Amino acid sequence: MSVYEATPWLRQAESDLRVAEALRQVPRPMRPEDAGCHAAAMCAQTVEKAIKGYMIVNGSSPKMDHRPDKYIHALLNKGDPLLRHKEHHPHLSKLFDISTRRAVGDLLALTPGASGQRTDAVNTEYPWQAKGEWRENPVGSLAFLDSQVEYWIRLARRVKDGLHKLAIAAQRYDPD
Amino acid sequence: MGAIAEIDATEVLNDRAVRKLLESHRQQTEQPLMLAVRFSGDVAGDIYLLEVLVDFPGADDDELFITDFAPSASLVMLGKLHLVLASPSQIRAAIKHRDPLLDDISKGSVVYSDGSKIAKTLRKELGL
Repeated sequence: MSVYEATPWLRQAESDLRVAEALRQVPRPMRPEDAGCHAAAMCAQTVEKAIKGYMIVNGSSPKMDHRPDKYIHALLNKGDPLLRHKEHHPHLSKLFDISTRRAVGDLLALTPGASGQRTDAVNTEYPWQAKGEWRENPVGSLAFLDSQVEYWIRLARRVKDGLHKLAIAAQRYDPD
Repeated sequence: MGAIAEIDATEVLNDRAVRKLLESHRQQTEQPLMLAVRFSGDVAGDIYLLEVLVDFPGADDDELFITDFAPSASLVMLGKLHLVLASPSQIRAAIKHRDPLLDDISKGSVVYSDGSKIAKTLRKELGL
């Protein structure tokens, strides 16, 4: 697998992030309550694709599920075979500090299906149950207030940019 | 005499490695190369290379991004490669913040320029 195969993943992650930023501006015909959940979904997509792209940089084929955060622990272990680019370890340790790891897990958990078959899981796309009844939906939910979405966008930008820089460095070190 | 021969051999190998890198990088269309500067750093015999890339990710005021590489089968050299990557805006921010790395970079030599107006301006701003 070539390090260059990561490029489409990172390019799409960058596009998803631009869409998240655009949605937060509530373009017409959206209503203000529409923006939060859809922007959060795009942030989760950004992080998911950036991590998967970075796994490809390391010569691994990521599983096509929505929880690539499971790889982060391995990437932070310098001796783990999943981390082919050992020289990236200091950057990865800085990028994925404890609070970032927790936030990435929280964000990816919002992807539909990420919490298995649960019907009460807050997510970016489908209604969920409370007290055994379908009462809640993503649009207008307090889970997706603008301040929270602003935080998700900052997080997605940081993770995407950090992994994208490492991917570019790895590609530039492979002159053949 | 032996020491001089050793230094010469290092220079020849490392010069060849830099030429090979630049030959490859100037052909890349994703984040195209705008300006490359080879400079000296803390470790004699290592390669220090700054590459300014169009569309390099990150905020305009992100600090300069540095990665170190050991020799490999595809890039034969003596010592390590210290590769500094930045966007034009990140270089300007580093100048503004007086990043200490710029002291070394400003004493280096330009090994590639795409000839653009921005590249020419950056060279001036870097004192090259």
